[in-house]
Amino acid sequence: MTRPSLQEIVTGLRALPALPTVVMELLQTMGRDDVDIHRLARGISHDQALAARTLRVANSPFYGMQGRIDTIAEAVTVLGFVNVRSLVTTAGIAMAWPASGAAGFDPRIFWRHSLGVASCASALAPFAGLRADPLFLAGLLHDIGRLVLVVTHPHAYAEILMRCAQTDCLPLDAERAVLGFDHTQIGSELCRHWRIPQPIAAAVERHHQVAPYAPDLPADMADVVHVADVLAHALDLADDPDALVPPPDGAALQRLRLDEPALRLVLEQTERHFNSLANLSG
Amino acid sequence: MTPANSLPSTTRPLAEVQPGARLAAAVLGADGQVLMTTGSILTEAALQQLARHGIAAVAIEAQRDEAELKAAREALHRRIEHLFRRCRLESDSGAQTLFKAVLDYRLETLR
Repeated sequence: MTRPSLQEIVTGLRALPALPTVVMELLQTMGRDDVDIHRLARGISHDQALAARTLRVANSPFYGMQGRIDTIAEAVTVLGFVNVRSLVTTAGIAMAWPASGAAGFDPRIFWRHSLGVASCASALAPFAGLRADPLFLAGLLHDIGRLVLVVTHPHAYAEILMRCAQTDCLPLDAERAVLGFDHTQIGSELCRHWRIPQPIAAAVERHHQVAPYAPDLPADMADVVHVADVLAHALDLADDPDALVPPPDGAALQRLRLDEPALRLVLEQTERHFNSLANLSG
Repeated sequence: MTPANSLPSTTRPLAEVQPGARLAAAVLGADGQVLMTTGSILTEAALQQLARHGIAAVAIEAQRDEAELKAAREALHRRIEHLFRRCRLESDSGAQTLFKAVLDYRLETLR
């Protein structure tokens, strides 16, 4: 079987369905607060499907709202623009993919894991002294390179999955063995294609390859996404019978300095946030 | 989440529910909004709040007996060990810490 090169896949990104304009705009403002909230809120409201999904989640108990949130403008007032931006971009990204797939690939498991890592990365943010909303997006997108492969090269991806099933290896190792590169490179290219701010693309690219140990180095976004990936698998959030916890990187853990109470809080917060998002991708 | 967590449920008048029971179904308010999600633990404060909302009865998970609880704990332990099968728990202290945190967290919410 011919296997795609990284360059072919990167070139092929242009052929993927485009994100709605308002989602692209929101992605570019990720991590910033100096935005024209009212214009963007109007843009979101004009996309019925996107607005409906966002409101479904805004009304979940996670946000503690007793009453109903009926419009995007209300959601912005009650939840804050930053939260609405995360919900809308998540819905927009999850809705963008064609329903084709590779043998053995389950999109439901894929999105559950992605939302689990997004939830966990934002729960970890305060312990790293970082903003939660860019980390949520980085967590959501950490494995997006896999989805690109599934959609653009389903046969190659089926081969990778077959290898995983036969040897119970980490999917990352199967990708490297079959393709010679892995989903992190594709994912970060897609982030650039979508004009997502560079720190988020870098975290997607380096979540399996965090910085080596160095004294006094603070935790960065890649550290957080790496540990969130480990914890989301350990919490079994994806409903994947074959789920596999990747070995955590000692340097990333050392930089995050999570003691027992902190870990307990992160696990609880992750699960609560994750449960609130169940309506977003399906 | 894990199969070990699914249990038969019973519907009980709110006044008879003991704190610590777990909801088997979401509780909805008068205009259909979700007050508490499936799986939530009914603390004393939560029970009072539901009473204020005029909730008369809730579906709670049946309590497991000691033998069932033991089996569920063991199943949970096995599942988490299986998830960590590519980590060297004996020598990797980081993996061990995370393993223990997740196991403790899951065991705590098991009843």
